[in-house]
Amino acid sequence: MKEDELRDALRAAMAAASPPPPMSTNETLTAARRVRIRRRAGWACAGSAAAVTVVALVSTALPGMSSNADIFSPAGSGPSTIPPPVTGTSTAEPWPTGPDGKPQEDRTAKAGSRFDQGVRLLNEIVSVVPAGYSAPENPANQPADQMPLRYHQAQFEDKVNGVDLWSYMSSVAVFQGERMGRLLVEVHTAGNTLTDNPCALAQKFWGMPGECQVMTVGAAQVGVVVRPTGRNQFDQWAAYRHPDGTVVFVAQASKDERDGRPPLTALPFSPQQLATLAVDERFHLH
Amino acid sequence: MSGRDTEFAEYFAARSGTMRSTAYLLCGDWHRAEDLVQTTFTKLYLVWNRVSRHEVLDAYTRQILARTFLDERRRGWWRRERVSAEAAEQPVASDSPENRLVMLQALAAVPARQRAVLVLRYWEDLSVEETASLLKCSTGTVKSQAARGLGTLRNLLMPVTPRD
Repeated sequence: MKEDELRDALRAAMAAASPPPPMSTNETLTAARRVRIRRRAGWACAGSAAAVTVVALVSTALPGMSSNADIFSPAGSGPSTIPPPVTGTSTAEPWPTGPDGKPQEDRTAKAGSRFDQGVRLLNEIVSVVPAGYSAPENPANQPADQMPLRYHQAQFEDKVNGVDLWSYMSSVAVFQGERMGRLLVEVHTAGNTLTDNPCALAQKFWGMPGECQVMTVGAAQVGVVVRPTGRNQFDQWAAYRHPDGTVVFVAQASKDERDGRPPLTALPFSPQQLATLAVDERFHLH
Repeated sequence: MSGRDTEFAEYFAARSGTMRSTAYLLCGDWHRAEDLVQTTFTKLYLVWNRVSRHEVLDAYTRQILARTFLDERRRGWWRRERVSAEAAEQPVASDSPENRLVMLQALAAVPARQRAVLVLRYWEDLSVEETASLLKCSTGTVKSQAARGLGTLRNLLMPVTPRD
């Protein structure tokens, strides 16, 4: 058996497999919370006698480390043995200050101008949904284990040369009657270290490989993956790096693997339209 | 639900299916695959605030998954999984109508570390370097494990030769 034969055979075998229903998000979350609480309690008991000393030592030795209890690594084979997935600088980089003057609790902006950019990106996606498709609002009281129909996030990525790098990601479920697909736009602000090679850039999108074509939009060269060769979370996606360094990914999927509804019969955009959207100034956020 | 939990829940809802497919190829059984995914996401949850950067989050989660699989194998936790002896002694016809299922059975018969390399290289499409980094071994080891794994599969799937 050769490499390509195995690759094809695995895909064929998995396509023919009958997986059980999706796993319950709530059950997993509950179990994970339980482990976290147990671990925290264990740490508290084991370390109570020496806590003051340890805290003093840590404070002295690691002045840049956050006091957030979540930064510890789990024991055993988990991430304690795995280098943190960073791209350049230490994860000890403090979170940016939020609009309330306090540091953010995590990477995601919960308010302020960055948060607003995520909202704006969402609104821009909704505005480009083509005729024949709808993008309904999120229903009230949606269960936590269901992906929202509309979603937006502004996330601090890194600080490079004193510049805060952010990404904005927004997505909408698009419907044709009962059929559902998804559109997603992700923007990385200028200063990022992503490549300017169109197809190399396109294959950086969530680390997904695929057959890529370079398409021209005016003077711009856009990388468009027209068929994924690995994960197929999206059917097609376009990637463009603006001259100022801002990177835009626009992706479309005929189905949402987290949702039981039938897939779209046709993708909302052609590859060329997808490329045009990647260049669109409406998605060129800072 | 806190913002942390909401984000984690969304990520789980988005990615657990894909991770479960990889886990299934690693352990050959949907129930075990779900246990493996559960363990993986529990570990991820513990460090969620530190790692919740989706650009590299999939790679990180996959890393936890593969290492947990190998570590659990070492501890015998997967003892009930189908083992190699039966398949190794019964090579199957490549034109069998159950060819696809046979393929999965044969993969399950490949030694765990070789199987992990095969799954990461040819299902997840990771490069030799990425696979080596994920499994904490050299690129040479990845190449040799992949070659051995392919050889094992070849033997398991070779056409049945009629006896004289």
